[in-house]
Amino acid sequence: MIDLTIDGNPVRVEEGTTILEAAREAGIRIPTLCYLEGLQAIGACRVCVVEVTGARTLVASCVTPVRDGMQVHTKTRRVRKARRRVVELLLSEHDGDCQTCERNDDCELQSLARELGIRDVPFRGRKARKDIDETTPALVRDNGKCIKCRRCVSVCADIQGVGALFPQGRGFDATIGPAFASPLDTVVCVQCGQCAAVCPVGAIRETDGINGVWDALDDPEMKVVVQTAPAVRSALGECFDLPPGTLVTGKMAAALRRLGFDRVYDTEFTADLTVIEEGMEFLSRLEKALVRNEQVPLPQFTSCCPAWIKFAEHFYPELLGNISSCKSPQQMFGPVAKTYLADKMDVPPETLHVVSVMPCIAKKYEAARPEMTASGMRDVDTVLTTRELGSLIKESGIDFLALDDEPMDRLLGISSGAADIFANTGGVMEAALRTVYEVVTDRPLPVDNLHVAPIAGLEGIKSTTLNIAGTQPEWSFLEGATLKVAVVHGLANARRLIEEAPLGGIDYHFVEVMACPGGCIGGAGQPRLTTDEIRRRRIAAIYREDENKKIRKSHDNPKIKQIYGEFLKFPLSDRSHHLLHTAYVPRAAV
Amino acid sequence: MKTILIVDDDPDFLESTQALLQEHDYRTLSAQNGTEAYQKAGCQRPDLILLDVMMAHDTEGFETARRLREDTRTMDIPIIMITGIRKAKRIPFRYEPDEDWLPVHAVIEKPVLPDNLLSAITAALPPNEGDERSCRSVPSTRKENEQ
Repeated sequence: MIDLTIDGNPVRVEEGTTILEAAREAGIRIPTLCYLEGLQAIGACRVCVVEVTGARTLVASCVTPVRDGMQVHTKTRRVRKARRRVVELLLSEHDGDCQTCERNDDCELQSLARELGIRDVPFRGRKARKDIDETTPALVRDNGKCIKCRRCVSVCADIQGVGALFPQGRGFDATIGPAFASPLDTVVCVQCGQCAAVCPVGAIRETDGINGVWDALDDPEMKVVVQTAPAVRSALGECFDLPPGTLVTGKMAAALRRLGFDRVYDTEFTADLTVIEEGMEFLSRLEKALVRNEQVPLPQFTSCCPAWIKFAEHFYPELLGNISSCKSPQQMFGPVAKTYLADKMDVPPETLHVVSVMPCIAKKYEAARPEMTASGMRDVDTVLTTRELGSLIKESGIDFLALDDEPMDRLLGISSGAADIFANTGGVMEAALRTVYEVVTDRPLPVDNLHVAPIAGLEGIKSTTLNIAGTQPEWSFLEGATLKVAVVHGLANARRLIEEAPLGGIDYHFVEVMACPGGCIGGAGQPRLTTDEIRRRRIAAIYREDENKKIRKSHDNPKIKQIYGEFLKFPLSDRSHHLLHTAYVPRAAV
Repeated sequence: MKTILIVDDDPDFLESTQALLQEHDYRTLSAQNGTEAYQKAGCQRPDLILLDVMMAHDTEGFETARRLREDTRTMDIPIIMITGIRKAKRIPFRYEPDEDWLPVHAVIEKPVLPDNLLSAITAALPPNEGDERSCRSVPSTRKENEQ
């Protein structure tokens, strides 16, 4: 252990701890900007500088390890002046149209300037050139606002294993962006949006969905229905200063009705549908492999995450046959709404506008994929992020916190607890296992409270096995089998799982992949800034939502039975294949 | 003597079920598809209907049940659905009565043991001989469907 003092307070921490970490442990705040917990500590911005007795210069606390007897001072005049100077220089270059910036009031640079008491920018140097890149469906980049903190570079390369963004040039000409300052649509970008999630300013953001929603709501000819993804309910409250992990399902439904949506539905309904289709697809693959000796791609990978799909299309086209052909719950909802629901509402499908609220930025890209037109038109018309829904509610003057809870509308608003946990890393797998195991054995999944503990939590690659015994006669080929499943989050972890697989292939039967750390609860469309502590709170909230449901398994959802009985006929039917399944496209890797 | 309409496209099932029910003092009628069932139910007003699901098409029984429920002549007749659809189509759940779309008294899976069928019929029929048909109603399933 190391003993030091920070601002005169004795502090004892483990060897290898940085000054910043030691200060945080001691409850002493040191402001940061380029630093990102668990991902980036590069000392680039110099905002976190502190004075160390005996040291010639100020040191960046995020990269300086503590030493025995060290005396650290975080608030001296010299430190305050240096921090101010650093931020003043950033502001002098920053294209700061704060009043109209999407990040107004949610900007780390703005907050920092306020915190450091900056009231004037004494430097009149060159401004970064406004350079807006709107070439992709989900993301907008504006180099004029970029402060070169490199968080986006690190998250893209280290968390997602993509590497679409690089620092280039020097001095005032330095920019962050795709190689050779190319537009984003000319390089491999999976549209996950984690760059926008960690950007401290307005340099990378999601494309706007709010205006499209207002247009639809204002159009008297249109019926506007909305679906809300599971993860949104665990985080939307943060837009209204509720603590992370506050469940606001009922308030959200009430707010959506006040906004004027004709029907308030739940993507969880189609998450349950996904479990049925994907689970039966999985069992069908196992049967083909084990009974009919057919060459069937295994493991089966989940397909709910559009960034993972695009990642695989670019980097692992040889695995596309392994990915479940099931569309994501968002994209199952669209065609179900424009066929089955339109018929029930007795409206022409072209007058139905489907809005989805997602914790995700890649969902904007996914909804725009040309395949997503099974209803004969675009299946999902407009996608909002959780943040955008927060803005929409504020813009409309609704007092969110004062709303009483309301339920979702019936039929497409009814869901099981298994659908809730789609939000969490490990949740899609657990939901699928709850159904698959029970189908095969006619007994509930034999784990405590239906939770598969080894695949829950924030570890990057998780796995477990499930022994199958006591099978029903039609599934007797699985008697005595051991099912091996894995769960990864963060696409760099998916890359590790694939590339470190033993010769002979990936030694699992079923693999869940979610691009964002923590799963959808850590999606790039969620309120910023998502730390591991916030991820844990949202994950716990989602499990609470699941446990409080009377129905916790997708195959027990009575409205799932209804849609099969009335419309889809049976899992993997022709109609299911037409509306609920898709195919993938190999894409260039450079 | 109560009358039971048996609806199934499988002649063997019809024959054996008719024999079983007649042995237990029920009068039986039969139909081999939904249209025939609808006509016979409307004209002859049986006390109960046993209804198959997969006939001319995979979900004909579901549609027939709804049509019977919408017709004032047949809306009070209890329906017991007898089906092998779960195993035939590998459906990962059991269908059950649902007031929104499946207005039946019970759903029984084939193959069904005679005693189980007879118990289900007894449970679905009105308790007393003298009951007015208008008193007969399908139990509400609302609670089962709401969370």
